[in-house]
Amino acid sequence: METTTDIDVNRVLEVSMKAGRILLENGAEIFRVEDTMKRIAAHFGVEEENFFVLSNGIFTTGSDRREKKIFAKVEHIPVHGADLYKVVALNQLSREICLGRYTLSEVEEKLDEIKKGSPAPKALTILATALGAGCFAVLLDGTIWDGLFAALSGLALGLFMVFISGKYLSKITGNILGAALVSLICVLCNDLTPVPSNMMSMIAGAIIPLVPGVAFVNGIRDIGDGDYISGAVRLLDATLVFICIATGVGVVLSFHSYFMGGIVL
Amino acid sequence: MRAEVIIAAFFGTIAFSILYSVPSIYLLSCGFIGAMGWVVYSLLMPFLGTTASIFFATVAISLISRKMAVIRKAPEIIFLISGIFPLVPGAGIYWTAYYLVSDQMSLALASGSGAFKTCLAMVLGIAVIHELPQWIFSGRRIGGKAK
Repeated sequence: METTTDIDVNRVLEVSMKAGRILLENGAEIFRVEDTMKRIAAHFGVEEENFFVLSNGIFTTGSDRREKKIFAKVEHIPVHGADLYKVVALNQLSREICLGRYTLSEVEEKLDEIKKGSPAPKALTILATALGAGCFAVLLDGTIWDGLFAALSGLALGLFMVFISGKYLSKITGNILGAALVSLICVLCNDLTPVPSNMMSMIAGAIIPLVPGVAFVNGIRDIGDGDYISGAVRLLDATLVFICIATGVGVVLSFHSYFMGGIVL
Repeated sequence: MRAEVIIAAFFGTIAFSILYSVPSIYLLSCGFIGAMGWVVYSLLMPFLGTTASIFFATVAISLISRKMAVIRKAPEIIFLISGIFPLVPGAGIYWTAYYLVSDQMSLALASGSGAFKTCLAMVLGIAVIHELPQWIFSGRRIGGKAK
């Protein structure tokens, strides 16, 4: 029996698509997705394969010359958050596959394990949001006080993101309301406390947790790799989020200047 | 340069690495890279202006990220995304959108073109380092195990 007939092309390509899907969903670059899929397919002996990966879809065709079996599949993958630990885990898995440590069914099991993952504890996410907001307010020319106020509104934002917007709201509404909430708290801190504070850095720092960093950096990265379509889509996604944030802040600041007088920043 | 700014860059980067669920063993490396990027940026800023200092800071971050990827045996992207985060013109793009929303077009144009130039500098910085062959970072010779 020849080795080529032993290869189940369909199964191998299904497995590599599954790996590609996990990578793409969780914030890997297009280049890495294609590379990993090719490596897995090549390791299990499928040579006649083509992968075409976009930011929200994977197209695969492959064939086994001898049996004339053809595999073709298109998978739509909606734009999603980013769990970089899954990218790390899959990268490790792909290294180990290339070293020949796993059989195909073991790889399937491992992939399911990675896919399930374990989400970060909620308290940690909320605290990280607060810490990030505070630190960035200081980075953006704020004082320590600005940092503290921004951290306070970051705390509220973290609670809002974990318990409300992540569960019930769409991306657009969630970002608008989140930004509005943050700027409301910053405005109140600015008006009601006697310490000198700079509302501009405070708000700019406090909204940073809403900024789509992974989409943005990956968009740049993909354009650098020559994956223009995916890069442009990711940057467009990021731009939409920025506009939502600005709308939320803009509404609150307009109301503030309307009721309290003074200029809009 | 104020010391608290470097500390803020360090912990800010770590905070966002947590939000992107980077495994905890890599958090300190990410924070280090973020702080280094910010140090390079703010040291060069008075001499070269924003765009050029963003470029060199991105170059520094990409270099350290690639080396770190080899040392820690993890994909480069986790270090790059976290480390570059302080430089991402989040505030710039946000102010652009804000000025657009509040109908202040000349300010919108000014901050928008600033943010755009920053993005371009980042693209160039990442692309330049991306071109370097892997053996520089992994220490293997060209004729060795090529990957």
